Amino acid sequence: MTEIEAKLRRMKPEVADQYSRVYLLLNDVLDEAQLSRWSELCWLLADAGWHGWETTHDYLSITLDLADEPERLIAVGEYCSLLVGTSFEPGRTYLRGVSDLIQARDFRGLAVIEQTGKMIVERFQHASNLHAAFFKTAFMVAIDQDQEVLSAWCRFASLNANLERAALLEFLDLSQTAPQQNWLSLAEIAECHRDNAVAYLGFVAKIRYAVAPVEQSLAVLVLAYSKQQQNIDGWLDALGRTLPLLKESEARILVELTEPLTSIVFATALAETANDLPLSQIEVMNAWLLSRPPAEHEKATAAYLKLESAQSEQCLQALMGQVQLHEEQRQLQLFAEAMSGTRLKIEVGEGLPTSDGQVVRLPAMIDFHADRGDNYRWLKTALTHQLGCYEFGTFDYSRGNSYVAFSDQFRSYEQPMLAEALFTICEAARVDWQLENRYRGAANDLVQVKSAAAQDRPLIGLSQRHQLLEVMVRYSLDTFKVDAFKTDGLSECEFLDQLLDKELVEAGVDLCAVMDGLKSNGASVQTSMDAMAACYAIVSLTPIDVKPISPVIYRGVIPFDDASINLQLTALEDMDPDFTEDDEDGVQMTGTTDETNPNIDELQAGEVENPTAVISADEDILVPDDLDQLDDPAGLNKMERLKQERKEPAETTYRYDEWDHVIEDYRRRWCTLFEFRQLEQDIDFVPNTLSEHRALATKVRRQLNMLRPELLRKVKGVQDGEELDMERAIEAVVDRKSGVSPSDNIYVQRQRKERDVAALFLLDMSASTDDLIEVEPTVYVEDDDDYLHGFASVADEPEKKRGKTILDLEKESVVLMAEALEGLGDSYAVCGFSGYGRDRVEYYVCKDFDEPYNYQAKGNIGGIKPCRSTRMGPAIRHASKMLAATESRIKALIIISDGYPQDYDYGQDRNSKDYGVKDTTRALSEASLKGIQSFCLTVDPSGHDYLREMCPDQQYMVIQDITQLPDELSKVYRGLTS
Amino acid sequence: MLKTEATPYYLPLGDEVEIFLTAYEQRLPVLLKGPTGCGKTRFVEYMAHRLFRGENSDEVRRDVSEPLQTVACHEDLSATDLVGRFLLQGDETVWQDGPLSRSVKDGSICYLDEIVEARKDSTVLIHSLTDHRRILPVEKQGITLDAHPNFLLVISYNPGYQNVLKDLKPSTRQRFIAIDFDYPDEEQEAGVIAHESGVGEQEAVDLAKLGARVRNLKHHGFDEGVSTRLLVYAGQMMVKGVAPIRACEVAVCKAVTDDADVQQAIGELVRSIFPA
Repeated sequence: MTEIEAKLRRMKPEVADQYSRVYLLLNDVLDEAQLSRWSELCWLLADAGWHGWETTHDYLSITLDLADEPERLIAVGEYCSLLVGTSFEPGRTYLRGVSDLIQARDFRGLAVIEQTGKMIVERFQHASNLHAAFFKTAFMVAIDQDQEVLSAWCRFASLNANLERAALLEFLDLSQTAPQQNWLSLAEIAECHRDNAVAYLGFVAKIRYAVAPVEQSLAVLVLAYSKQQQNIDGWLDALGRTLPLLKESEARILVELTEPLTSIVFATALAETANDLPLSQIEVMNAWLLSRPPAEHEKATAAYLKLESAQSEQCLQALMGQVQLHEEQRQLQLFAEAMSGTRLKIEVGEGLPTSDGQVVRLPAMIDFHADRGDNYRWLKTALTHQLGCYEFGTFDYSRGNSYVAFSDQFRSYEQPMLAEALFTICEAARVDWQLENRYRGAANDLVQVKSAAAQDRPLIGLSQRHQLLEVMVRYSLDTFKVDAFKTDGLSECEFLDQLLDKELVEAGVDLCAVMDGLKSNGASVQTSMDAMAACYAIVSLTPIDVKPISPVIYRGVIPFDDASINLQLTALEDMDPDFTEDDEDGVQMTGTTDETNPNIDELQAGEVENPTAVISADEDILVPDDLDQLDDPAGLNKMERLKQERKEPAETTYRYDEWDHVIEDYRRRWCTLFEFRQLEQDIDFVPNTLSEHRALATKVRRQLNMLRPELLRKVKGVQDGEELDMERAIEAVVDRKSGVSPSDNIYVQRQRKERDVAALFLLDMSASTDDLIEVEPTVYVEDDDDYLHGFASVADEPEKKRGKTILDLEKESVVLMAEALEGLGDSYAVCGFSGYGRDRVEYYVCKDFDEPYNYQAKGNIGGIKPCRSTRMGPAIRHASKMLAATESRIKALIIISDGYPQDYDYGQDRNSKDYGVKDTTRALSEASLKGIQSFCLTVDPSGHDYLREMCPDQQYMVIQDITQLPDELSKVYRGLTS
Repeated sequence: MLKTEATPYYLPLGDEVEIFLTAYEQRLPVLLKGPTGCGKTRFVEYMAHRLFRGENSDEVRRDVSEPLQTVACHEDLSATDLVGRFLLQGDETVWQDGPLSRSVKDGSICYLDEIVEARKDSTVLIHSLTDHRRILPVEKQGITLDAHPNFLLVISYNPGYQNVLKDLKPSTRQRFIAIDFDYPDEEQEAGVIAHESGVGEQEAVDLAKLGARVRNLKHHGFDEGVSTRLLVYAGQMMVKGVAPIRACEVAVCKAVTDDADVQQAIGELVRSIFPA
């Protein structure tokens, strides 16, 4: 003892003191051998390295607690001595852990910790931090959890011990931050698939709050996938993104829905879309999931679960009762045209329904109700209301020659905002009531939509002003009736008493009485203005409340002045098509028409008054429109702005489905196509081409002109005609003479054939068309039927020909065709396409069917330049759409390309041509269903391979010598259209 | 063929009756322009009745057994069809008058419906009948018929859907007094529908409303809009107890177009106008 004490004293006197103190107390408890071993261990620990005495100190601290279990005391010391090789930290951590166990009086976990620890120590020697971390964590788990869990954790840890050091450290770290894990299941998972277990542990630790409610069932899923050796990283990634955004109940349903999905790919797909799915509607989700494609069709199922396939989207919509505007758009568009008699366009808009005189904007999706019928009714009613504004002359309101009659009128009140709010309510009420008067069917819908709208309205806690406005809105929604007006302070209508402060009831009854006037047949916008004035007199007495009242959603918002100006502009345009092109004239024109207006003096007086009124007004009273109107009294600037906006935008976007042969379904609205009509111009191209290829141009024209004689055709053997078919006539006479009943078909008829042709030339503008053509100076091979010396010019000018690209030749061919077609009188269009990726398919319209072949169109064709990829499907779909709209009898689509359809995301496998070819095939067969004959011309020598598959009825041609393109093109054209 | 007993119902929309009477007095040929089913044929029947049976008739005209010869022209209608042809009867050929020559001989009204549909030779044929000559050459017989003093040629022509190639030539067109027809306005059309089909006033008004709205769509695959005739059919269905929405579906939606979207849009229109 003395020797060790002396050694310790030299090292750290305090520890030596502690040692001697403990030694004396142990003297009675331990036998000689134990005591000596104990002393030895104390020195061993202290001597193990830098600050070793600290370990000894800790050992001494627990010694007395363990004095009644000498064997354990020695064993702990022995074990600790194994840990202290490089640093005192692991040993100390171990001893601190043991001390914790002593406190808890439960040593059951010690053995398993020591065992695992030993393994880790042996595997990672000298990694003292790691050792320390292990013991720290292990004892933490031991204290927190029961024996079984601890063993599970240790099992997990020992499995991890095979990992790299960093990974194990991370595991320990995660275990420390979240010791409350379900270690049992984690260990089970780890036994099947260790990586999954670690990934899952990290996942849970990261978004614990989101996972907590579903942890149990999630762990079951993880275990199931792990048992099948499926890697869950991607799935957890997706869940990590979507799960935090879900409500607790939705998260539960998501996990529930994932259960039947055997493949992790499907689970991942579902997790990715989770935020877009109506997870709260469990029946819908279950039904949707049940109709997924069979699991063996992996890609189709994945696309289904990702909501990418048409089938999936339709199924979900049908189940949810959603109404998507884009699906009803054409039908509603037609409905709107029929109702209004004008070309009001229906578009998807943000926010409330609205219209501005040209466009009616409606929400993209309606899902207020569970039932599709109800949603559709809402949509139709919202549209009908907007149309009603036009039908019942909301925008007919005029005030002098102001373009902003409405704002002017509102500004003439002291509280313009209030005036506008009142007018909006009155006018909406009037329009609805007039609609009900005129359309009995719509009236039924309106009743239902109105009553649903009324249910969402606030009832209590309103300011006095809002109470009155609310009365008006409710009255306009037919929520209540007022039978007796003007009673003494109390109405006979319970509803009013409920909604209004007592002193306002009379005012409320008066408002209803005013509004009643709007119900009568023939109430006009002026009636609404008058009603507004009457209501203003009542409502403006209440304290100002600048907050707007909550809108009636189906009625939307209507920018009265914008719509009115747009309608006026449309009317002017109808009178003079050049109106928009010549701004000056336009304004003057309106000026002159309005000069006759006798109200002009009044108006000018008003103009002087109103701005001052607005400026001096209390700041609570907001100006209804932007302040710059002060400088723009008659709304001229506003009119100019709107006029500018009317100019056609340079590009329009369309969305097209795309066929995915892998999932055997359409991917809905997969491609976004931009249609450009304003292109870079190259006006020299056409004249140059024509002068260069004069001979060829003549030839093409002559070939096409041969289509003309076919205008009249003799048909023999008909019942009626202007000539007798002599052969048949004689036959008939012979028949009759020989007692056989003769045939009636003995006439010849000349049938007129008209050319009713629309042709669209679709040029591939992909980057590869920029390749130069190697021209051999071949002399043109002439057709047999060509007795004129049509073409011999290529050989004449080999110099000029060099340096041409495939696209140049495509363009030249089209130019020659265009010249010839002008002579023939067929209607045709020239378009080009390119793009990059599914979100940017570019489609250039150089010449539309109804556009003249003028310098503009020529310049456009000249300006076509090589761009990027060849995503053919959407371009063909768009071209078909254009062709179908022409309603010609013969519709021909001629595609000129230089290779197979490709794009960087045309199909998942970039190197596979299949996807693009299959989609193009589909697009072509869709076109043929629309009665469009298509023909593909390609200069790609390997074209036979895919064109045979792509083009129906072998409607393709591979041109070996590209210089023959113009000639072949005209032949193809003849074949297609005669 | 004109039914001789009852006066056909016709609701004059303007001065067309007076104009026609005046034209007849002077024996000026008349061209009726207007869309399908707006009442052109009915107008001619009505006028024929007035002139040959009713208030404006005289004794000679009352004796005409068929006051109106109507020919619906089609693409294959040739001069032969109008004038007549030789038929074989046994071993002999027998001449059979065409409707035009019959009318020229009898002194009745010959109405060539949709004249532009007919072949050019038949349009040229009527030239000599429509100026001061009033003769009809019958080439195959080698004779020329002088028109009966009571003969009048009336043609109709629908500028709406024919394309440029099927326009009337000025040389033909400029031989006629032209009377424009269009669908009546809602109120008048309601009157016609109510009278012709026997539906109640409210239904007739609604049908007329539907007609006017559907005609706004005439650029979408059907050139004419819905004819008054179809609206009358719908009314007749309703009178016999078919639910209004269904009646309009069969008589209007499905009848005017094959475009499913347009059909649906009209369906919506119907449901907006008629209560379920």
